[in-house]
Amino acid sequence: MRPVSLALFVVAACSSASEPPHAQAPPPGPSAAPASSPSPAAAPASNPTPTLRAPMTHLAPALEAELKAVRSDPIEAIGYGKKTYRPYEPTTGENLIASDDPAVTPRLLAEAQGGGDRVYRLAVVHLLGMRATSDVDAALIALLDDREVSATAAYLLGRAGFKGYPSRTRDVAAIVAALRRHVDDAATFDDPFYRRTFRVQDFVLGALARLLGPERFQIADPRFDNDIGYALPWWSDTVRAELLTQVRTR
Amino acid sequence: MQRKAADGDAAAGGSEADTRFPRVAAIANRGLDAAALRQALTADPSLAREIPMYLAAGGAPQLNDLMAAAYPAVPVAKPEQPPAVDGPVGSSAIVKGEGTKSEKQPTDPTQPLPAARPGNKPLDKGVLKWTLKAVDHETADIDIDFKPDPAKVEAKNVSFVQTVISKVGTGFAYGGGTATNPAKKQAVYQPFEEPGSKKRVDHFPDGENDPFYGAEWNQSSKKWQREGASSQVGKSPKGGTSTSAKMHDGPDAPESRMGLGDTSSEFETVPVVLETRQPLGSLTWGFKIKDQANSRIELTGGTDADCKDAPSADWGKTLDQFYVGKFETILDEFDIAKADLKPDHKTKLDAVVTKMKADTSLKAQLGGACDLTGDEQFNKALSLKRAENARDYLVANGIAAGRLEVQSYSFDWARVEAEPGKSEGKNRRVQVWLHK
Repeated sequence: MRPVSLALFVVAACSSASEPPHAQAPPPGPSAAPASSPSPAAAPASNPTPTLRAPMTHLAPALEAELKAVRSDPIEAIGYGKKTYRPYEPTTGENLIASDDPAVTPRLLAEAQGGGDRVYRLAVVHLLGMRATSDVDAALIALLDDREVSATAAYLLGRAGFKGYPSRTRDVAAIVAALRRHVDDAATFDDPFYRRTFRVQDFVLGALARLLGPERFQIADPRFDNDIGYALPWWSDTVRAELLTQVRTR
Repeated sequence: MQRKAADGDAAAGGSEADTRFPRVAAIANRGLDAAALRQALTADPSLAREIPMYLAAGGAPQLNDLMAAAYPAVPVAKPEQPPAVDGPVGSSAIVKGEGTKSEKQPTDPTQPLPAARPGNKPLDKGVLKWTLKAVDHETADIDIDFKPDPAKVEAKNVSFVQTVISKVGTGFAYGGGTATNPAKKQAVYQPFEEPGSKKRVDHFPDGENDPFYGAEWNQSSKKWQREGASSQVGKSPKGGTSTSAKMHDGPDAPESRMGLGDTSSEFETVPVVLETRQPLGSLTWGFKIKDQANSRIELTGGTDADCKDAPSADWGKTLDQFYVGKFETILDEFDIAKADLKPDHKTKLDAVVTKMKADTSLKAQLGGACDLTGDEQFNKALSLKRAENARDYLVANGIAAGRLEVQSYSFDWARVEAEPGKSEGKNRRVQVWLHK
């Protein structure tokens, strides 16, 4: 994993039910205030990699207001993109997406890691993934270990830099390595915004194919080149099996 | 890498599809009747999932007809209700689907898709080729290729400007719409709607500052580049060999069959020379879906008759509206070969200062450009200087330099149509894009 900047916490994943104490945060961003404790989801016991934890720093009032708006109606916070290659389009949170405040990414991560409404957490992850700052990828990687939001985190790791999703300074090798750990995750993911059920691994496979380069795959589906990693994972069992096989050798 | 279907392959009878989907091809060519087809698909349901892809790839169209016979549509008079949710409306309760696109698709997943509509039509200024198809019953897909005729078109950059109008019931639908409100982000998109036709340039207002579909400005090289892997910026050098402009689109209607009314999207895609705004042809296409359970997607347009030498009058007006909606102000009519701000430029910038002071989250991109006269290197420097002068004025009036970005488009981006070598004052400009 690439070094993480700003106010993200790095905590060794615990192998028991007890949580380690939160690591000391680096100095918070300009608008940060004393942190309250997040209630992060426990990391999987089998995960040997460090997991990021973020402090619940307070943001500027306008940004707090946007978070409140998302929390009040999270299902309406993420709309349809009207294009297969851009299925999600936030309806609120434009300042959270655009803000240069270094406290924003840690705060969004903390919200996404916090307990409570899963749809709210997913909406926050979508906002996080549209930010341009270089700390976003580390935050999304941390969220890969959270079953409830891992599919969305994987999706957003795969689609930076295309049609409304900003290019970021990225360590692609670290992202690919992190995604590979979840490639066999056959758990289901209920997407509340589309009211559809997918497999977590399908989002992981899509992101990996996009990051590794669709041209390196031979997949018998005419939509593969254009949409893989951008569109919702529409593929059949056959395509999934092909992807899974090929992703292991690419 | 599996080769992408070349334009016209679909019309040629589906050999590419046969290669990609041999199991489906075997069924298509076996001469089964409807009953035997049902029996085969019942025995191997995975085949049914491959059939739409086979047909979309240009597979044998008789299979489509056979599917229609094997699985006749069930007429349903009553509109399908929105899917029930657990808990009160607006809550974040989750409804589980069945694996893919469950409640949006026809309840009979084997409903045949409409036949693909490929085209290949010589126009005055080049050849337009396309393949319009339905990917599933809420998604269309189109690839468009325009190859300029170098004897008639001189162009450094050729791409596309696409207009769109999407409706749900009697209202409009936009990106960012939701199942309960397809027009939720209307306020964001509405500034781009041409007042008469209500069409708008198809782009993402939150992240794109140009109207081109298939091209984007490379900030480093100061050149137009392809927008994605499936697009290509064309060119047509004088006396040389032209290169095709290419684009791909995949619009969908996720709010269809939800009791909100029939859905439709109409597009007009126009190849255009970026440095002159000269339109080179036009293709209208789209799709519609009835608000009924089990309704099929219907393709619209995309025939030879929908491909023309010139765009509609709406297209030009809609492109003009893009500049009104996108930019806070445009400082134009700079003196030829000069970068000095004029009094009316300063008045316009004063309004920008007021707005940026009122909302400190706003940033500004100042894009300098020039007309089609003069030397390229001189014009690059000139358009940059115009943008820098606008930036310096804003800084002098209290806007932090860190909130301002200058860009130099030289004579590579025309706001209004102009002939090479002729001076056009509205292209000698600085366009001010305010964004978060």
